[in-house]
Amino acid sequence: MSQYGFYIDSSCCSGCKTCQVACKDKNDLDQGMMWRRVYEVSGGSWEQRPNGGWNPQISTYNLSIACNHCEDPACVDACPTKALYKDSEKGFVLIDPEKCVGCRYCEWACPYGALQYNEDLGIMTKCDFCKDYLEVGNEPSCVSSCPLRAIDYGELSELQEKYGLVSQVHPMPDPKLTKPSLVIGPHRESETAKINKARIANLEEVKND
Amino acid sequence: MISKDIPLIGFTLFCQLSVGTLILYNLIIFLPTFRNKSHLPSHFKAIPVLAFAFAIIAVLFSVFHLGRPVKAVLTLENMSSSWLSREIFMMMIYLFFSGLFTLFIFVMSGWKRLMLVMLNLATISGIILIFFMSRIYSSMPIPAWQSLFNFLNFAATTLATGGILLLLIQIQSGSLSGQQSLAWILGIVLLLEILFIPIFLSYLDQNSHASQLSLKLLLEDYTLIFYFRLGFQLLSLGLISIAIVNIRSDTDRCKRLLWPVIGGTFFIFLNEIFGRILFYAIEVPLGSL
Repeated sequence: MSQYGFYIDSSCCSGCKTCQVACKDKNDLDQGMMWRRVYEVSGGSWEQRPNGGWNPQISTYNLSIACNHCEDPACVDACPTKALYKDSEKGFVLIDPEKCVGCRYCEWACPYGALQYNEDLGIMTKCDFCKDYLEVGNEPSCVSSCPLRAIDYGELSELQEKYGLVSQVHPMPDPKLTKPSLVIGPHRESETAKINKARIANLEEVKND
Repeated sequence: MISKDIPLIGFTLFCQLSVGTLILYNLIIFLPTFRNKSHLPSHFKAIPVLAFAFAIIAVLFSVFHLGRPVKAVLTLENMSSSWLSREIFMMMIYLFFSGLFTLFIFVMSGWKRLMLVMLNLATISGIILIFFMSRIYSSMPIPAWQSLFNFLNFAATTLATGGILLLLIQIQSGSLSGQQSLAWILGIVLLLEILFIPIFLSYLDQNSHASQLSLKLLLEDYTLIFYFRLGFQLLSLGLISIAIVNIRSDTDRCKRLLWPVIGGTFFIFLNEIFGRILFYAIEVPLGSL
């Protein structure tokens, strides 16, 4: 089985949210549902110089996060109906809408907020890697729509070879939890973000409820 | 709190009330009468019926929690890794044995040994059910739910709700059997619940960023509910202490405890409802993404 994943270049992401909108458009997602979300991470403050002037000591960057189609997906383990499963061909984490009962247990289990509840259908929904696009040779909608080319996709091992092994920056969860199929191009301020206690600035915008 | 949590609050509380009632009924009422080969008073036969009814109400609440209740039977498919599947399975086992015991107590009351076996099986499956229920939450990447406090919290609610209901029934019926033990169990459980609060707050403060956010939610966004709950806990502990001090082998004196115990019941249930609201409210996942 191959394992597909996403590459997110946080160092050049401008936070324009085109990927978020393209995903919503392609999947016809209702208000409040976002299979891909752009988190605005920011923290730090101003520091006074000896001469009385002020220097900004801040960390601010964007993280575009969708389902990471984890190698060890907590949602699949948690799902009581086996509606969530790992695709044997490309390693996608997919959901069988016929089996989902809408218990929302996977919503708690996923540390990335990938699972989203569809109130009208009474079931969970999530990113399916635009597998219908891939089948006809197109890129996932988030990848093709990014004006800065900050998102890439492909075989995880190839992405890791090309972009490195970073799969977590502040304040993302420990990758040991689910082994996400994700490679991140870290922003230069991501190292200081933890020290600056950077927070998600647009929590109201990205939270699922 | 958000409306999606109401069925979960109903399910967990009624489940715990049912299991707590049956556990303490077994230990404090049924087992002694079985050992002494004495007759089970008729008003005690209503208690298993109540416990079974609470379990049924819990099931109804759980159905409302599902987006598609008609497919609820599918939830048993992932016993190998899903704690929710295991919990649902155990709920069915618990319903089976507690239902069977309830039936036996009315139609086969002479078969005391068989009834004891059924009651013990219902009690054990109830304890496992509460453990599985707590594991559903402690297995999530949510620090506020991951500590030992989670299981202790579920166990305490089980004993507190079941215990106060039994005490109320006994005081109301004028039965003296086991009142003192029940009052002591309740007093200890309530005292431990209060003593755990500062330890739990300190655990949240010293843990990950997510748990600090949970603490912030608890003390800032839900501060009113938090302090109201603390008030209910202190009031119920006070009222149960009155019962502990005044329960004697004098039926008339015990009957005078009816109003303090009714008050204790009211405050214990409010305490547990508020506790569960806070439990779901402080759900902040690791990484906060």
